[in-house]
Amino acid sequence: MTGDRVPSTTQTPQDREAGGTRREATTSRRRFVATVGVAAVGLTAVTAGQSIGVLDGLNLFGPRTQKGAPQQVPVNRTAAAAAVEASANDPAWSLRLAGARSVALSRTELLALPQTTVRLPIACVEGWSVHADWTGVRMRDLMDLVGTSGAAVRVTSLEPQGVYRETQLGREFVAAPTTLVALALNGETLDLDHGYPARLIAPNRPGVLQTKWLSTIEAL
Amino acid sequence: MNPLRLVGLLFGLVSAAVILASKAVATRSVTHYLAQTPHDAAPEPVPATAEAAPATEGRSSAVLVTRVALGAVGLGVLVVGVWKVLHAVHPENYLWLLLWLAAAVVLHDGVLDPLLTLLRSASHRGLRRLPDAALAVVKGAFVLAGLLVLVVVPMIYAKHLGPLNPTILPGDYGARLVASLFVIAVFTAAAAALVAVRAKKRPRAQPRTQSPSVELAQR
Repeated sequence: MTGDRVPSTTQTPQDREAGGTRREATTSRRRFVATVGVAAVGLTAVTAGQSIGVLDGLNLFGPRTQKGAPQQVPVNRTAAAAAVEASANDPAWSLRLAGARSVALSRTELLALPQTTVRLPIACVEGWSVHADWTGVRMRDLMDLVGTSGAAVRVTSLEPQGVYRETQLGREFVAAPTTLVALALNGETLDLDHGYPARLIAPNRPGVLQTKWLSTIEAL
Repeated sequence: MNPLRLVGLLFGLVSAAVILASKAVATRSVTHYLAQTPHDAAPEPVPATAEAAPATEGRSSAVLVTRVALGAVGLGVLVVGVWKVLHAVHPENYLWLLLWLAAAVVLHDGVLDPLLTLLRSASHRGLRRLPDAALAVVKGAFVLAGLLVLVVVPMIYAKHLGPLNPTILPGDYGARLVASLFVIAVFTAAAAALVAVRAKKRPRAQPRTQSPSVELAQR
């Protein structure tokens, strides 16, 4: 038997002070709550920088960073992964709008329309969310151009395939003044990986439904 | 329902049952082993906390009211949560939801808990020499470090598999984890030493004849 298991006769003065017998140390409720609190605050501090800009310097363990990403917004699906590099860079690209009548607008023509800037997040279902300033044409203005106001629309990407190649916008999304066909991000021309030549940005929508590399918008 | 899914579900439930049963057996034998050591067999002195001491009527009823109120709020939130989940999940997938929830329990009780029990018994002898307060600091640091490892190791694994593009998992998480654990270790050692020194000094300031409860009452 080892020394530390011999009972009371070999107790140290500290043991006697502690109440006569050496107790097995238990964790008090207060200590437990304090430990969990410190752990929660600490882990939040070293990961929240991926979504909260001011904590970027502390972002040791967030899976995304704002600083290294193009135009300070992380990318999930690149143009290369979506196989749209050629079609998105094609100078002959135009956005086809279909409603009561059809119109095709080049990027130059889209830029000539009234521009709106909104601050909206890419809120990814994977757990990060980054706010950005988006500039472009209001979706409802575009639908007015083709004579179809107040309808839901189907938005299609240049992507040849993919689960989110096609998404639908309810009429309330189309009517919202902050729903845009965005042409610029944080004051710069939209990066290819962010959906150049034009992408959808709308409030209250998960990131995967903010369709990039738009090709057509049809009224339903 | 696809028959393969049913087989999978049965397999999951049976393994859950096996893990839970073996965990219960392991816990019982560990408890039995610990009870055999001489100093643990001695009866634990009842701590002189406010709850154990005879409190005034008003105070204990206030505690009871607070507990009931908190319990009611918790129950309400639970009901809302279950209601929301049942609406958010398709009824076809209720069984899978149950399996996922059970998997969390199985992972905790079948994997995490045995690992921690082993770690605890391995570190038991060395750590219990520390004063109570210092031991609490060390335990807290273990919790912090363990949670950090749980969060970061999957990221290291995902990075090893290769992220889809350069904006995903851009950091060197292995090095950062090692550095963070080192920082935690240094701070813990310093804090534990400080606490231990203070705990050693304190008894000399008090007259030796007094019992801990009197000491508590004088503060």
